[in-house]
Amino acid sequence: MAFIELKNVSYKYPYTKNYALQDVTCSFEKGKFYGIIGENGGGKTTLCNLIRGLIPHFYLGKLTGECLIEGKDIREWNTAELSSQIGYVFQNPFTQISGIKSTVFEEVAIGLENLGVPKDEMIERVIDVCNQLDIGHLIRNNPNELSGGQRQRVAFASIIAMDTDTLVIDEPTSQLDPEGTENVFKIINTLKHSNKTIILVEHKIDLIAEFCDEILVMENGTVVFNGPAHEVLTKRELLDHKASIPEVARFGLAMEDAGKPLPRVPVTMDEAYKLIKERR
Amino acid sequence: MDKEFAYSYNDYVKYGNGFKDLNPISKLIIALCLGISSCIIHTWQFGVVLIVFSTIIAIYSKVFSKYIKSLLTIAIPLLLLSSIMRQLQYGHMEGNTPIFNLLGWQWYKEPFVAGMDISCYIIGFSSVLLIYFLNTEMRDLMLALENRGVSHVTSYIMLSSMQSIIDMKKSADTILESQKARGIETDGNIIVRMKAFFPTLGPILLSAMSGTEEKAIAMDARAFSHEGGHTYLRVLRPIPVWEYILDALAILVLIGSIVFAVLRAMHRI
Repeated sequence: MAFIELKNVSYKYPYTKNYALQDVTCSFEKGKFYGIIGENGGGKTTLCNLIRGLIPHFYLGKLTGECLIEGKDIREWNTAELSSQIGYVFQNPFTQISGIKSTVFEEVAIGLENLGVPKDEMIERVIDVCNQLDIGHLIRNNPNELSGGQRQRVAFASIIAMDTDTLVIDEPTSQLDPEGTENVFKIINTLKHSNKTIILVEHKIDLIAEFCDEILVMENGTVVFNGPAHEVLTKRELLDHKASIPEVARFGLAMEDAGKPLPRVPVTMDEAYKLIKERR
Repeated sequence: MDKEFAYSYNDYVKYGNGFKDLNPISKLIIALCLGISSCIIHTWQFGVVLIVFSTIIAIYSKVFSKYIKSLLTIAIPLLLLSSIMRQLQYGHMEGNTPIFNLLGWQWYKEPFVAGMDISCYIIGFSSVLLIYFLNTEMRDLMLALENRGVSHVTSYIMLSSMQSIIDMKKSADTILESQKARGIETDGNIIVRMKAFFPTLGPILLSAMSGTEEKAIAMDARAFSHEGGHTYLRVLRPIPVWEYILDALAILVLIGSIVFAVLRAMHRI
């Protein structure tokens, strides 16, 4: 059974004419890694806001159709309940720091304090997460004085410490430098092996190809492609929908066009390397 | 990973200084009772006693340099202004006792003492509040208030507002630096600085407002609106009996000052 299920969902923000989501039908299963790609303004963040319950509880507006989380309609959930089920990390590293804690250790513990986790357990969980995310050396620092990349890692840590089953991650690297991006993807790699359901919105298509089991492609508020990562990322039609495909997939398609196809179109560098090696 | 630091959260919050380690609410009661007493008694002698008391605490709690800088910033202009004002107001009255002559301007004892009374009680009041804020972190005060039933929402609003001021100052500095890089004059006299500063207010306020929505979402993701009981990583020390006695003494001083003021008023009548 799908953990999250959307049936003919349409939504428009208050005081706007156009729908940000139009007749979206898709589902998310437990334990899988989903990637959402597509052009800017395609509805990716709106979809995340809906899954996280910010729509319709935080952003009002007009919502039609059904969005079920564990079989219960999103309208019936309250956001506090959802926050202990679905974690959310978004783009801006500067607004994700609470601003009221004076050490990184306290910042990571903030969600656990709100959930009423006993202090002993809280300390152990924060230590574990800081080690896991390699931010142990930052625990004494003031979170308000960290760099963007460091803040994003602290934001991840405070959400991961809450140990939610599902994580929605909306363009976590869009405001980071290459080093910050690399560190965030190390975290995402760790999460991939944690058996959690992860929904990642990201423009860096090569990284999406490496991590995701399933991919949704969005355009103008609709889901235009949805399916296993390899199947979706090797579709030629993707290029017509202003969505990029991995460079190696482009190479594979070009090889097909040249009449010298590889056994299949690769989507990651490792896969391409293996296929070319086999061909020799 | 600095595990010693991580496990230090198992202990109560402590700073290793007797005054700083007092419960923030106990300190607030002491500061307010003494400060208000200064306003009620309204004599330079009580003001001076408070200043001496605050100075001793400042030395003990190792905040003397910050304390004295801030206090002198208030005290010197206030003393000068109130003395001059009182001399101008009452210096011409008959029966005043001359004390000294300043470049042909005769100063009298009575208006001088009246000026001292006003300035010393204000400085005394300021000194105890100054000592309080130099020795109390806002997050400790809010934690103490939360322990007494203030909601965590109120606490968050207070603390994040203070952080917002720091963030807005940083934004202002960044905008002014970029203005400077574009050749706009930002240094110089007060008019030049104001001309450079006022146009930055719009962008600063707008960026602060746009950040508020995301901050609310971030806090929501951290279960901020969770309705069950909250727990705390930082825990304040339980208040010992002697701290309650200190508070009671401060309250007695306040009651004493009220009685003193009433008796003084009756005596004048």
